[in-house]
Amino acid sequence: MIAAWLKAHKGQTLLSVVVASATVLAGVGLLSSSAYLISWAALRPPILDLMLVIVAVRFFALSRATCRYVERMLSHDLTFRWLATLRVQLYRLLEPRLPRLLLRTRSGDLLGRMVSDVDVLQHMYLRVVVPIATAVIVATVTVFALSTFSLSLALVTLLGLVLNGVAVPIGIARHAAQWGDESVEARSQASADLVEQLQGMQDALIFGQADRSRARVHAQSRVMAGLETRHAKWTAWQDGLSHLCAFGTMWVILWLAIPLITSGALGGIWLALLSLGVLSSFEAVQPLGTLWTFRQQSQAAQQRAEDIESTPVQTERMISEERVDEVLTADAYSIRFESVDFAYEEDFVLRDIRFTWTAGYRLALVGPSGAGKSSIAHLLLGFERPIAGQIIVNQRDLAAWHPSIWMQQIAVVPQHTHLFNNTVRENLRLARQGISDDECWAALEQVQLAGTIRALPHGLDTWIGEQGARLSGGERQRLAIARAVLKQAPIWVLDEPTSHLDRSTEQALVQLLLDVTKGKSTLWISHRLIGLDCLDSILVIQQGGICERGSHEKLIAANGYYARMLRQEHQLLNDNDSGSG
Amino acid sequence: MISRRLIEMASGTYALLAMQLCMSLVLTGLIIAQMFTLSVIIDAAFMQSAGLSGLTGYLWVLGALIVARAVAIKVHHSSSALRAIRIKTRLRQLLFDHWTRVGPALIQQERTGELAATYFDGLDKIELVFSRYLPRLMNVLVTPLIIALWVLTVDLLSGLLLLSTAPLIPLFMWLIGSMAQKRSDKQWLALSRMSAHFLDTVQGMTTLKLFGRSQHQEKEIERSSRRYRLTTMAVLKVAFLSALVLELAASLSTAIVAVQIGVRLVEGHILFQPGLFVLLLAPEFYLPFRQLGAEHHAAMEGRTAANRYLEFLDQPALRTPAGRPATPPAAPFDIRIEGLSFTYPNRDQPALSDVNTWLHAGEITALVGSSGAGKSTLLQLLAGQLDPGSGRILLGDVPLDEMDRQTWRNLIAVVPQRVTLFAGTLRDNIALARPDATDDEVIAAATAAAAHDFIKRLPDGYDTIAGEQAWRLSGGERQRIALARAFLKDAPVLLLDEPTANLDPDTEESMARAFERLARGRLTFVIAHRLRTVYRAHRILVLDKGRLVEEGSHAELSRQQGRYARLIGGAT
Repeated sequence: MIAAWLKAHKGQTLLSVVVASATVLAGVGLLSSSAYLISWAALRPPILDLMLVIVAVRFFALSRATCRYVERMLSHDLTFRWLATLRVQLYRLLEPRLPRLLLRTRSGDLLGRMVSDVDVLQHMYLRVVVPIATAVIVATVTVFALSTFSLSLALVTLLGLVLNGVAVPIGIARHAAQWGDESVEARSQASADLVEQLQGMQDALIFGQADRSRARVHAQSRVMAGLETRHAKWTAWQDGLSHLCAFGTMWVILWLAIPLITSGALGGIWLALLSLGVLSSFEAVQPLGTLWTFRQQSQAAQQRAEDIESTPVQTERMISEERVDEVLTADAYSIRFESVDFAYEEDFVLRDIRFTWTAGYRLALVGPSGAGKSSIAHLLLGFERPIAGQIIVNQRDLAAWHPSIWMQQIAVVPQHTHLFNNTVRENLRLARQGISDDECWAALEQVQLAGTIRALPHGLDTWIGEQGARLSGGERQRLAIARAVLKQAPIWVLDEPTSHLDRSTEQALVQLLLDVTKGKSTLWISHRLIGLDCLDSILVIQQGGICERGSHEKLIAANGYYARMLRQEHQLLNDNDSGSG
Repeated sequence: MISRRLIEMASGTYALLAMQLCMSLVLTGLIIAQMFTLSVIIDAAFMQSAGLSGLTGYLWVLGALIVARAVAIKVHHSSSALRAIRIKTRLRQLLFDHWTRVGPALIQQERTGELAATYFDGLDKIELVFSRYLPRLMNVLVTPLIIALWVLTVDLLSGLLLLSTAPLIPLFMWLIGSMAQKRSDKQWLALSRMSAHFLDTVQGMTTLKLFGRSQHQEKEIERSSRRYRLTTMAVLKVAFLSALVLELAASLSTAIVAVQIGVRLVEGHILFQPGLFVLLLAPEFYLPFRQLGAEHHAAMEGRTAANRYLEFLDQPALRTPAGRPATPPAAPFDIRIEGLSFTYPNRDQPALSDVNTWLHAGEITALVGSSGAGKSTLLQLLAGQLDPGSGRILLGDVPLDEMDRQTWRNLIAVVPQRVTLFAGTLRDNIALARPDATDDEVIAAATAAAAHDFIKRLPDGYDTIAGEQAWRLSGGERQRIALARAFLKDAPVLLLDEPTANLDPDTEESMARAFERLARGRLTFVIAHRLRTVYRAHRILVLDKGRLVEEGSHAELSRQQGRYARLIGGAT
């Protein structure tokens, strides 16, 4: 992936690599020319003869610092560009797979982890591309320069550079890898354990398990420390061995060069230059040491991306554009589920679901949590496909609809609506292109939120914070409903829109939802029965199948599961809240 | 840069710290010896035309010094790393122990992810400060000074030159420390904002999709990334200046040392060997500063992580009795609540204010009130998981805060709304309070809690592993495991938070009966969400905004037409 990107940014990449190499070479030049300067000066030539070398020394000193600065600017700029590319790539990877991916993995933090993977991979340019290119360029220049003195000196230096830049890091990484892998494993075990102990702390304390749970957590942390210590003992060799390579190479050069001087094949004046020049050229290969640790980190990130790639993409439907228009001429939709079966992996969630939903009707879907209510919504939205049976929309199989066009027909109010950390206006304008402020206010008026928004410091321009943190739970849901109203879609899907609100807020919102969906085809999913008596028809779903259906009065008269649920709900006090409170 | 307090907490590893100081000194000595030998060899080969045979001894000495320095570098690094890991492990233990002392009621006000992030990632960042930043800081304090003093003895002028660049170095440190710090902070902020924005977009992708806007957002990501790149680069332009100053100081003064030695060599004021020796030492003088500069980011992140860590450690722990803990009264006993108030940290409104009441032995007391009235807080205070802001709780005549907390915990069973199942079998989970319970006792408890039937239907029965697979157990099933725990513990006091969620009507019925069996003969305090529960209760307490507004039996309270009547109003 990075190869293609580098090609696209050829000019700047080349420049940044050249400047990076120039920085190291200026360092080599500074020490070499300084060594040459004092060697020559020791022979006490006229001082004017030295002027050129003195100029060279100053030039290298200045260019080293300047090059470093320019190089950092260039490479950071490129890193940010690369980061943008990575983000778009990740987005492209995830976009067609959501929300299916989240439903399958049941891992809420998956997205967070993917985002932090990007934070790791963003260093790819600075930590991989630049060091490798610099090492190759500097090594080539140094070895070439040395070969003009003697081939053996050049070869010894090349060997030293390769040893330091390739063999040492790989050797260390190999030995350390085992402990690194094990400590990553120990850590994920410890992490799962810690979360369990924190969430269960009350139970552990009350049931006298506090010491056991502490012992457990501490034992885990000691195991981690043990593995990390072993890992650290190996990685600590990196700098020591780097030093050994650089000075060792110089040491061998001395052994080889001194006889050459004695034999007259090499001028003695060059000895100091050779020693210092060789030493400083190792600066180019030393950053390669971190390459291998980075490789380990990025492999994990890459692995996750591959796992996600293996999740099937939500398939594009096979309908041609003309036929889409034909289908879209309807202002209302009647929908029919025909013997629909559905399963996540092997587990059947729904079996033989059949119902007809006439255009303009409001349908309630009730039942205990885990009965399969949300799966019906996901099937209807096209996030999932039935494994058997069909969903027929206006006499046509839903599978023939283009997903984005079908999505435009449906306004959804889920249990948790994501509000973006942006202004009220931007959150509302998500609904449709080109929504005016008047339309925004009208929608806010309709959901009885206009007063609240007006009272905010900047009205529609107020930033609502992360996940809408500046608003209360009820206000967040009202904003979500306003957004759905603005979408002006003929179909509404309400997926437990009030289930995490307290009772009084819930009652008000239920009334609001009954008002805004009047006359619209509506599928209202709920595990509470409040307000459902106003709807046209009720489906009761239990363990993946429809067990009762009919109007509120009919179901009461039947005195079955629905009636029992209703009685039980009447047994609840008015104080319902969502959790610990 | 890093909190003094944290460094003090790391004490007790002074032996390793001393070792590091030794290593710094040894390393500096080796550098000087190495460079001296090298200059002697080059001088002999070049100026005195000595052959290889005359220099073999020197060359082997140099070889030995190179190996010694390599080993010393390794020992230096690994001793810093070991010290840092040891400190990290101790800080982790301190943190978890502190959390258990603060207690679950306050700890769970934080998101678990946040706690885990501090425990793992935060402390990893603190480790880097100890393993990399501080050792290099010590090198900066030791190595350049010794090298400069040594150069002074060899060549006064060059020594003075190196030392005269020394004021540049505090200047550089100051640049990093104050002015550049602000710039770096700003850069940090810009970077983390950019990350947060991206995370927000990714998390909202499903919503974007529902509105058919998810593909449009791709361009927005590109646009905002470009915007942030431009602003961040503007900040970096200045932040990198401090590095430029250091780099210039290092390379220019190396150049000046070389040039002035060259000129004096021509004039015969200095010999070649000392001149080369000084030139070789000059880069080593600046090396520690450059190494320290490379750890700047690690130090920044470490500082942020350390602040977060200390914030957690500063949460006040639950109080322990001052004198010898009082012995609890023999059961059965009544519980008296006197003037009880509580306010959560960082909140203005008290969660409970001035609650006075009795809970009688052998009776069910039900607590009702709307969301946020302070019901859970009262339960947590009774469970001893929170300390009262003022007022007290008395068991018989013994104040709760004069008792050992664990003694009190042994006397109560708590059935929470959200039950945690620990890694282990269901049997282990039921027998939590009494790991030595026999199978018969566990089955009897499970039967009483209406849990036996569903456990028996599981493929592995009581040996089913909870924890990882526990999500397969429904809320009602978890609740029944919790009831079974309480049956087995057989404590005289029962505190229960009734589930708010709708359960399957059949489950609900069997659980209600299990609860009534469990409550028999105990002092039972229940946060009630169901009419059936308040009908059965001997006394009902009504909380409103942290105040106890009504108390009495169902019949009495219904007649009053007050808050209670309104609460049950919808439930007829």
